[in-house]
Amino acid sequence: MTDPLVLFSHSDPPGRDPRIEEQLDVLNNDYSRSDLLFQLAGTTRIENEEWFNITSGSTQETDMKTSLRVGDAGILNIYTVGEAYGDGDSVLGYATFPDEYEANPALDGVVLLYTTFPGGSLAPYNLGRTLTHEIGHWVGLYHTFQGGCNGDGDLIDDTPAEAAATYGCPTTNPDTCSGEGHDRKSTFMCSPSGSVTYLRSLPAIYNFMDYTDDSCMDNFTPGQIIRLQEQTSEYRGIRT
Amino acid sequence: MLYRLPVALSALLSLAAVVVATPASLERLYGLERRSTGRSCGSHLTPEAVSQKEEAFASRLAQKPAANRVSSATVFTVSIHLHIITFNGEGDIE
Repeated sequence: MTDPLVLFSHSDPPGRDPRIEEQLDVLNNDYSRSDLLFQLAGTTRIENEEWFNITSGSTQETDMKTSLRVGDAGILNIYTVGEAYGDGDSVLGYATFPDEYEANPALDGVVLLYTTFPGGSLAPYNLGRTLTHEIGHWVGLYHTFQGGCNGDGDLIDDTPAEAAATYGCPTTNPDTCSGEGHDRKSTFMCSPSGSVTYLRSLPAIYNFMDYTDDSCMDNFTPGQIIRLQEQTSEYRGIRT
Repeated sequence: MLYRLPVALSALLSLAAVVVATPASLERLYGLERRSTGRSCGSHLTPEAVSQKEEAFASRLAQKPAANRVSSATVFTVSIHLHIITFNGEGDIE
């Protein structure tokens, strides 16, 4: 293997690039109901052919992150690349979970396509919501369709169950889990007393942790906010 | 369950926000090109893996006094280090 060409150049001051600033605005707006504020500490540009097209779990990914990652569990390292692959598929991005940091600190972080930043070429995924979604994993959230219609799903009480991911932005809520034999109902919320009220109009298709188009997503549920706060507190040292 | 909502009102406000946002969102979306592969990310986990993760998490939470759990009274800053990989004139974000 040839030595990869690595060139470092730091932007000064951080965040002056308009599209990066716009991405930060998207993040802080999307997480405004949490207690997290995202700030850019530094930007590094690296010319490297082997890392530009990256596969999750590959030697190249390990090399890249081992070479570049900075900070501890509470520092978010984001790697933008040209193409990314996971489980054999082309993906928009991928992320590690908080509880994985202890075993593999060097691999912690988010990888995503640079074309998903606001103004990028990857419509309809070019409004910055891919990073919102991947950071959702980084703070401990699962997909809304995790586990399908049965079992504990995404472990959040106020996200509706989904049989599978939703794409695009359907004009009607696909109620995929209301049939016989499903032990998770399609939509519900919890009262202060712990009782459950079933609703019909809080669809997961607008949730940041589904797979819909960027312009279709607009919320985390209160239950997701509680989980991400607990996860980042426990595993990332945030709030301690 | 760990994530039952303490305040029903906040959920209702969330619902209202979704309902208000929906028509405009759908109007903007009509006719947008859909990528054949769609959104995807490498965080797929089996139910068994999720169950194991959650048992460990619940155990950690159980060991912590309720008074020391999360409070939303303060904003916490997450510092980002952005690593932009480029090649052959592609990949920069400006």
